[in-house]
Amino acid sequence: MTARGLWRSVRDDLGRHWRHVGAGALGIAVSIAALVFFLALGLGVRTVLLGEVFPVDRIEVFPRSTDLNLLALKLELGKDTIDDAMVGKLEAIDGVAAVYPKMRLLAPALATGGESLIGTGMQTELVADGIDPALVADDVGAAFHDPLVDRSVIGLACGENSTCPGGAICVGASVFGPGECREAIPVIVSEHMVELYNGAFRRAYRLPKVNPQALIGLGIDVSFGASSLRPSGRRVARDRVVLAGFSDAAIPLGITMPLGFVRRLNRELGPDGAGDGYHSAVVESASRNAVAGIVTASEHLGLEVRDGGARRASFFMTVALAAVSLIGIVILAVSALHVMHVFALLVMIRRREIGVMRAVGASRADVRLLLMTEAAVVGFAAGLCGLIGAAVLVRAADRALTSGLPDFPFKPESFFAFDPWLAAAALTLAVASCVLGALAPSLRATGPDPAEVLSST
Amino acid sequence: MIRINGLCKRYPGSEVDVLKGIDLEIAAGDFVSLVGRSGCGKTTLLNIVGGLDFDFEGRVEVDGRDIGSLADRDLARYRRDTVGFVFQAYHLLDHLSCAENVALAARFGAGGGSGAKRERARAEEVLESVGLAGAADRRPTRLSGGERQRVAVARALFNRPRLLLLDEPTGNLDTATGGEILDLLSTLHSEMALTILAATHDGAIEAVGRRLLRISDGRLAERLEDVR
Ligand SMILES: Nc1ncnc2c1ncn2[C@@H]1O[C@H](COP(=O)(O)OP(=O)(O)O)[C@@H](O)[C@H]1O
Ligand SMILES: [Mg+2]
Repeated sequence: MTARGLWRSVRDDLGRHWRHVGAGALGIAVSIAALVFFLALGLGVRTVLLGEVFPVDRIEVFPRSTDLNLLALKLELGKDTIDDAMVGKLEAIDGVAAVYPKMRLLAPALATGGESLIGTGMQTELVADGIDPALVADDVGAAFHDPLVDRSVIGLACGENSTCPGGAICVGASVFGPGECREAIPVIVSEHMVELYNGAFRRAYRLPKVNPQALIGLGIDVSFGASSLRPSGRRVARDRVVLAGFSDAAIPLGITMPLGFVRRLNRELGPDGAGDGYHSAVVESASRNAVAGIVTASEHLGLEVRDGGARRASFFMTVALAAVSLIGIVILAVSALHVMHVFALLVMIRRREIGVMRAVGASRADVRLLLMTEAAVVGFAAGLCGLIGAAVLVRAADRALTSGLPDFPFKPESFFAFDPWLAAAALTLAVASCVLGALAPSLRATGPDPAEVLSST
Repeated sequence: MIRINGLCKRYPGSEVDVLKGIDLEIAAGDFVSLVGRSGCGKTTLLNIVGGLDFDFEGRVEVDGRDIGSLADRDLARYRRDTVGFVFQAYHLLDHLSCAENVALAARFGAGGGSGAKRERARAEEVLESVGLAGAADRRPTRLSGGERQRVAVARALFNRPRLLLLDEPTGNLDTATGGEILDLLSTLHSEMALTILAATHDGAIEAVGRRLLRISDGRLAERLEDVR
């Protein structure tokens, strides 16, 4: 059959039988619309749930704790750190995009400052954590980076009382000579800290409310190795940290510093061997589908995975999506059955016509090609209508949901993920179900020889 | 052109053979009339020779090709390129214009997909040769019986077949119109290098062919004298 002949026949036939064809297409369109609507909703909710509420493309692994609880004390047994070799093993797991080790500061730290912000100076014990700056590069950019070992990049001399520009700190100035301006240590904190401060803490101490963005660049003096709880026997390093930004990857309470700096502090000020092992590692997976495999592989390495509900959320969303898809597929299958009936009817109506086509030179394959092409065109049109219907529904539902629902945490701008691949998959499915539905009738239409068809009509 | 040996045909579910061993040779350029009582098997024989019915026993050769052994695709090509078939019931498609009906075979590759313009020109040419110039854009439903028969002939001639098979071409027409159709066939036969095999039921004595074949009781009897 020639391409032009095929096209003309398809056009003639669909135009002539649009009522029957339309009835079949309607079912497909409706089921595609429903399927796409619910899948987009499911995927949208999953994106919010897994991407923001429980960011599950990153999991944190810890050394398996072999603690022994003894009344109020917890005795730690065995190794409780991750070494570089283990990091290498984690990186080698299938589906792992990156591994970001974390190290806690194992020396006490005392912060002083805050006058510029709240009008009154305060002193507080600090908990500090060290992370690989690459882990938060997306959140805070280059502002959060490992300081150079020799931090004298600024290179300015400074006196005992003179200040350095841009939040830098003057180190080494004394009555004997000038010191040197050094870059302050960039740190990040969790936004929960600001919320905590602006909520209960501020009210309890009658302090002003702060705007998180205005805090960026704020410098605080910290004495590493010093403590108000217990006099430190070791030496104390005074330094200055400057707030570089906010990130969910920061510890909930305390400051989070670049990993390299924490390692150096631990070596200089902490107990023996404190700078050698990591306390946990964030493992980033290349795709969400790989997470389950990574969790299993990490557990085989003797590590423990803590992910704060993400695994359960992921599991339930997957089940929900599968259920929605299954229902959609069932509806679609019923529609395909309907298409089959429509085509069976059409083939019956067109029995004589098919006989005539074969008499003038159409082969069985030609007739099948014609009928299947018609089914594919119907499926494509139905799929397109279904997609448009779904898009309209999504738009309307989104408007109703975003304006109708009160604000709540993680409320998304859209509840739907209407991906191009979802549209492509739906179109393919619509075409496939129509072609499949038309298959049996087309085969039956070309069974008898033309003489039999034409003599009986 | 046509060589048939020992052709037998029995319809499924039937007890008797419709054709009981037919032997026949038709030379290229012959004009043969096939007569016989209604139900004697004329249509059956035409369908087999035309490649429309391929469930038979015996050997049917057209142009040296064994019809019974052709695969579906080749048989379709044979129907398209070698044979023109005119049905007793015309079997025109009502949703197409006369020109589209005539050029229907082009959709399945007749003429090698020569393009819409040449297709249309050829359709008009054959319509003119059957005396229906100007009917190209009319629907078959608007035509009289004789005119429909002419369109059916034009469709059969579209792809310049070497063999024209007609099943009771005058059966549904009044005597005058039937005579016109027979005149048309004579003209076509002498103008184009056509081999014609036309079935006519017994009452219609105006059979035209040079050779007259009679089927009775499933066998073929030949009267060799010219009818005219
Ligand atoms: N499809 C069929 N199934 C069963 N019997 C048939 C079929 N077509 C024709 N016949 C029978 O075969 C015989 C010959 O039919 P046919 O070739 O149409 O005769 P004619 O064209 O000479 O009138 C008739 O008895 C008819 O009833
Ligand atoms: Mg007959």
